[in-house]
Amino acid sequence: MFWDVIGTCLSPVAAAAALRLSCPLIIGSTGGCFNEKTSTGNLAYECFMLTGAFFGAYGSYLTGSPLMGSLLAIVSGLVLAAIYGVLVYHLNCNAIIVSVAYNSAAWALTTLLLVVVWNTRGQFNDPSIVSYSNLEWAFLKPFPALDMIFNYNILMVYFAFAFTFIGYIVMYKTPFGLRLRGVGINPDAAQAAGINVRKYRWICLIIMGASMGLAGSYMPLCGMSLFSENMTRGRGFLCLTSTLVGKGHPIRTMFVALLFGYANAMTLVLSTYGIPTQIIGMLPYVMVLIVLLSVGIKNYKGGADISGDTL
Amino acid sequence: MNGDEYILEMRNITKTFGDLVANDGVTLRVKKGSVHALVGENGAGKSTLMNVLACLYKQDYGDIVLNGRHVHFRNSRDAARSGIGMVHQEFMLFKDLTVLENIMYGFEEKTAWIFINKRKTKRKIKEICEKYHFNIPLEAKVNDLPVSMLQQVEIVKVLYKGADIIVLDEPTSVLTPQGVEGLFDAIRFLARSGKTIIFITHKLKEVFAVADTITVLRDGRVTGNVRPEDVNENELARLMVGREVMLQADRSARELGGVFLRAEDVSVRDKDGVLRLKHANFDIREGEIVGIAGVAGSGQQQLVEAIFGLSGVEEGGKITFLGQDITRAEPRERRRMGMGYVPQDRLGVGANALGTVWENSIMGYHISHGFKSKVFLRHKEIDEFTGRVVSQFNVKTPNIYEKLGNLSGGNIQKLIVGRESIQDNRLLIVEDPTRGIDVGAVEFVWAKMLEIASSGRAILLVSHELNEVMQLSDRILVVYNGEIFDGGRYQEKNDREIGLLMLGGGESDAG
Repeated sequence: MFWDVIGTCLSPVAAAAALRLSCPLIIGSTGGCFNEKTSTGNLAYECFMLTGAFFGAYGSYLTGSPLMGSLLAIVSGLVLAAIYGVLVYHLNCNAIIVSVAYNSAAWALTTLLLVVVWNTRGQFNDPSIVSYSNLEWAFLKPFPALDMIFNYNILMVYFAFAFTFIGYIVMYKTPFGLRLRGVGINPDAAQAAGINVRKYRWICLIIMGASMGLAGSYMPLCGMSLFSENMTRGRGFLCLTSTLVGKGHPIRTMFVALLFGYANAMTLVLSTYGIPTQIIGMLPYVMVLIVLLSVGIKNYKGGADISGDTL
Repeated sequence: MNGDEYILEMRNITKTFGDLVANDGVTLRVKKGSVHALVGENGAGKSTLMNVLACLYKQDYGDIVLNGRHVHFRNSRDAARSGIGMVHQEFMLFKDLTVLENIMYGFEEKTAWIFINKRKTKRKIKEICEKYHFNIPLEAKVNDLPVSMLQQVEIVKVLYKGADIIVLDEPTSVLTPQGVEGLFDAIRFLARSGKTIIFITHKLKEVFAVADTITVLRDGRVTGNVRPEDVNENELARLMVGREVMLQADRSARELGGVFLRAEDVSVRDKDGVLRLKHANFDIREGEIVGIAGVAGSGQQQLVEAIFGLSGVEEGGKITFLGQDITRAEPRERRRMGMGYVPQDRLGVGANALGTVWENSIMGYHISHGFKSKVFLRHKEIDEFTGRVVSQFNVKTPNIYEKLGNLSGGNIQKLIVGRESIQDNRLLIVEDPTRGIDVGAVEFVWAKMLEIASSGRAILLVSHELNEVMQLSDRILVVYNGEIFDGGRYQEKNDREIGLLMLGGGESDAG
């Protein structure tokens, strides 16, 4: 039994599931990296993602095209980001309060929309919500394991990795990236160098909103073709955690997101072995704690720092 | 007029912040290739004027004429492109980025329109470094470099941006005497190479050492345009402050009493486990001012923390205060025994910028000296005490309910020194008491410290300002790399000798 469990955990099936489950996390947290690096203080990941999930389903339902669904999800992310930006940058609202309000409001809003638009509660399941179809790569067929993991995925899965890579290039190889990193480290110095700090924060907020919206649309359109209440179930927070642990470095963040995706996959795999679902359901969050703890221990230098220079 | 002769003219610049007139019709004319000193007390409007020049502020009235042409900058990048480079007092650096990235920030060389051309940028910076004799590691992270190096980075940065006029805002406040010499050499070299330097300072010695012309500001107005050969230090000080000032501490001979504090074999490790203070042995006697000189980070901080009880002392060390062993006592216990502390970081450690003046004047003494009844604060007593601090230490504040953060640095410092010394403290630990405060306030704080010592108390003075240590201390100790060296009694050694001790400890003494 024990070895069975271990075997399953390391099987291509688990890896394939991990890849699919981490896709929205990777897309979202790559956008989140931009947010993190400019220190916008935006924590409303869950809100952007859940709203994106609803509008992804809705767009696809209206047009019959998953692509249009994703597009509408991106637009919803942009609108939320714009409102956030006006509140925080122009009206000087407290970023944390706005984020908390956003996150709590998103659940209520999407549940309300579920009733208003589809006149249903809990879950809306309809063939009119058209999902992305799986892509097939013939050249992977001869290798069963690779075939199982990397073949038959929807476009967004491949896009996720490309997006991370582009994010990395933009952030570390272009003047734009250098400037935005500087804005996060020392806004005063950036301003003295003639950088419009607010503009950079706005751009990064927009990037974050768009990619979280897109990430949200993955869930209803990855094959399930449904929208349910609180569909994201804390995945937005996993995105936030990935960017924080990855310190805003897109590649590092991607690996953390993969780890969380893997933990998510375990919950599916292990439930077939009769392990109580409550325990399995904790896995991704336990993983968050373990990751944070190990990062924390690595950085721990012992003793309280009285001089306060770590603050 | 003399349009060709002056590279920069700022005419009748007026800048107000609400009711405060920071610059009131200031006119500044700077010649090409000169070192122009802009002197004045803190709050005189020097930095405001330069921020107007760099377009960090917009002036209300007045014109800027650069190379004979009127200019209107839209933002600070615009100003930088026109050849104005600013080295701020607080370094404008990104600590997690490399030196290279810091220098090119905002002015990157590009390939294919969008990518950073690192090689080309690096070559360009290397050329500048060679031309102007700077030696900085381009790939190192800014975080890992010493302060004097960071200053070079800042200067190279403005040169990279093509600055013809380089504004240095209080550049020496972070440097050792030797570092200051190095900076002055660099300034002279830059001026010889055709660059124009505007040098902001309130230290008069530096003005005479390096400036070609001097403009003095007081309360937002120009009070003098002079040449260093035409004035002496006292005249310049009078232009700055508007009255006679004492530049030498007024010392009267004092009787030294018994030993107040004795440190025996005190060693301290920092939070990384590195030994930062090694086997320190010294006494502080009644009526004595003991000055600690040293390059920043040589162990002064650990020394102070050990004495005040903020860091633990290694096994075998012992600190005795007024005859009692206090090696393991809490800071609160030490305060109760009569130990006062004026920390270097005024707003971080010494006071609460968001609190009121009265809250800050009882801070740290609300327990030991009975400002409260069983539960509540006794406001009558507090008001009376705060009033004493404010009046005796000449703290300029509208009332005692004012938020501390609205006071100037000098006034905050006076409040803290006042708070610690009006208390019945026997020993005051004072760190950098005059950092960033103006000449008038320096004079005042110095006089107060000497007065405190004469009234049968003792002071441990830790300062990065060598002149201050030499002026005030009865006995000087020099820390170098965690070890303590004897810097002699008052006026026993000159600043050159002590500077050498600061840089090399005992070994360099012979050479």
